[in-house]
Amino acid sequence: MFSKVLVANRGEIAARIMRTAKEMGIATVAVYHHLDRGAPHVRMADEAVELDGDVPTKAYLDQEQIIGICARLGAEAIHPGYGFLSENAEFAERVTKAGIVFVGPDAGAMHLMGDKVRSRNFAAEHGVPVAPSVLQGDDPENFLARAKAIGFPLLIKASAGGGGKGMKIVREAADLVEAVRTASSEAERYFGDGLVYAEKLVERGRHIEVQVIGDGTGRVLHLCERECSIQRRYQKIVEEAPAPNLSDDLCHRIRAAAVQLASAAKYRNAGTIEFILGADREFYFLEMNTRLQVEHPVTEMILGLDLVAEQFRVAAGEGLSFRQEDIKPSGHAIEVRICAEEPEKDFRPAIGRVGLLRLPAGEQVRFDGGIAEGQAVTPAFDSMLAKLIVHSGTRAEAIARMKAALADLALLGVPTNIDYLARVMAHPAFAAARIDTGFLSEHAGTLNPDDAVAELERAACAAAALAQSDFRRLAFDVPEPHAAMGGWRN
Amino acid sequence: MTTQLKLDGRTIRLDIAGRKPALRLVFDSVEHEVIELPAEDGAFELKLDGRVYRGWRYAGEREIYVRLDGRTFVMSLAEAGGASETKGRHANAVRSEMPGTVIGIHCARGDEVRAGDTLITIESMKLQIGVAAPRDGVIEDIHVAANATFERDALLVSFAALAELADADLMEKRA
Repeated sequence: MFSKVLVANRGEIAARIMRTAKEMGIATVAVYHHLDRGAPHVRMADEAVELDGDVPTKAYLDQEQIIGICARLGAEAIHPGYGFLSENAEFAERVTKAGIVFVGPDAGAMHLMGDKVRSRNFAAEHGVPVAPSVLQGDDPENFLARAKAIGFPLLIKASAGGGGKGMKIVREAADLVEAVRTASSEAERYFGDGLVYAEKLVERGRHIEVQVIGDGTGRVLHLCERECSIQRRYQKIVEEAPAPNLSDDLCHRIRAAAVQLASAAKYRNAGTIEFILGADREFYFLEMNTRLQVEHPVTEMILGLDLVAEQFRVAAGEGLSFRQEDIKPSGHAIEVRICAEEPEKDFRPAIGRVGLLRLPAGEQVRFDGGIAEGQAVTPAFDSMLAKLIVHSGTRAEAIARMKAALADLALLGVPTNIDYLARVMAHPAFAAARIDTGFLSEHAGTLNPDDAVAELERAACAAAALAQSDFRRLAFDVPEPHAAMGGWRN
Repeated sequence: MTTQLKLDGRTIRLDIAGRKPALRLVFDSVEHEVIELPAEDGAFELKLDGRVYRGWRYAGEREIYVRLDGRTFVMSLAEAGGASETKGRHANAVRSEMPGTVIGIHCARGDEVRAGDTLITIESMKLQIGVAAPRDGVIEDIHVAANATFERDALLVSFAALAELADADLMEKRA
């Protein structure tokens, strides 16, 4: 096993990786932009090196600098987390060439899966179902006509994309030209490649994904599936495992398709194969993420294993520590993503400062965070601040546990979606597992906050007023007659 | 003797009616007794009309956050005196709510726009966000350039003032 690893990431995932590294006796190196000075991942690490560079996200993407730090400090491996350099095949290659282990797949698998079109073709070749689609690159001149021929609604996606960037829904032929134009310009900006493709949109589909892990020899195990349909802006905010209401047969077929794809790619590392499942029970391959997923904790909770530890073992050449028949899910796990945003304003990202942070406690309640009190939430990084994960015997119990945990969580000083997530948990359609990717927009009305009970609002106002020193002086310090004459905010 | 708190766009008036033997606050012309109990750092505990409320609070630079019974209340102290900047349908200035970068400009000086029209597209926190016109009107000026970065509260777009428009209308009619 490695004796020292560098974690090329920030926030909750860097802290989460370091937690496992510490448990395994591996020393950790953090890299950070100066905006993150004092962040938990920096404080947790055995060594921390500040990255040069003004633009915060660019610093975390500075391959040469990160590889240089790794070599200088004698770290044998780099764990990239998710986002940033985690799916950058060129980086994986450079790391390997520098004699450092990249905790991830080989560059070939990343290259294959990193391109939506290539990965889709590969899936189709290996018998994994894919949705009808046409590629702009195949015949750019007739792209619009070929797209129309699939039929509406269509989804326009960036070939090199992910995370909803450069993705547009088109319901009518009249909107197609504009959608292709904007999708292409977003794709160009985010991925440096403006090529897009059009795909049949599966309406009211469910986002189901399968966690796999492979040792690089073609041996791939599935670690059950996750349900990730609760999304806004094409990004998940609630995930659970196992997926509710899947028949054994469907479950078996989806897992088998995932294993088939990853085995064919001789995949090494933890990975996730995403599918869209239609109301007609047909499912199609969406993409494979060749990294640790944000929502990996729900899988860990139902299986009682540590995916980061497994990643380290596979990367160190120790192989997999379990067999498929050892994988026995138990109970139900739910994760919610705590984001700095305003759900009532179309989920607009928010900034501020974490003034107060109080965490819920209790059995099977896990908080994966990368923020500390006093830390600024800036527009430089993603708006996700932390994840709250619970596990219980049944789905209903897990929902109840999550409601309680959310109520006990206080993160004040920046607007967050905590109350909104609590309303999702309390929604009858969520309790009944009537979920698909349109859930949040379909139930937008009933997910709005109801008016607070008058007494509660009064108590909150009194508490707020008493948090002000001016008001306290008036309420407690000044003798009665003066208070009556005082001219405080009239 | 009034303090005003803004909550969800509403202004809540709060008066101190008396302080002995216990603090009495007036909400909507009804008196309520408030007793503050000791609480750990960041938490509060108060007895309001005999009922105990426990929660957390944090007073930031602009807002006061109160977390109570699984609910977050974000309040600001209402401006004393007259209205601050005119907002909503009388607004002349469109300001940024957060720092970001200009990705696209979809209007030009002199354009007539409708409320809700996207004026510019900005990028902030890795997201593209459209900045919408707060009201119908005529664009007086655009104060940012494509690819420019700006801070929170920066002036992005200004509208010709409504009064001037009315004057202009009158002039046209007279002419």
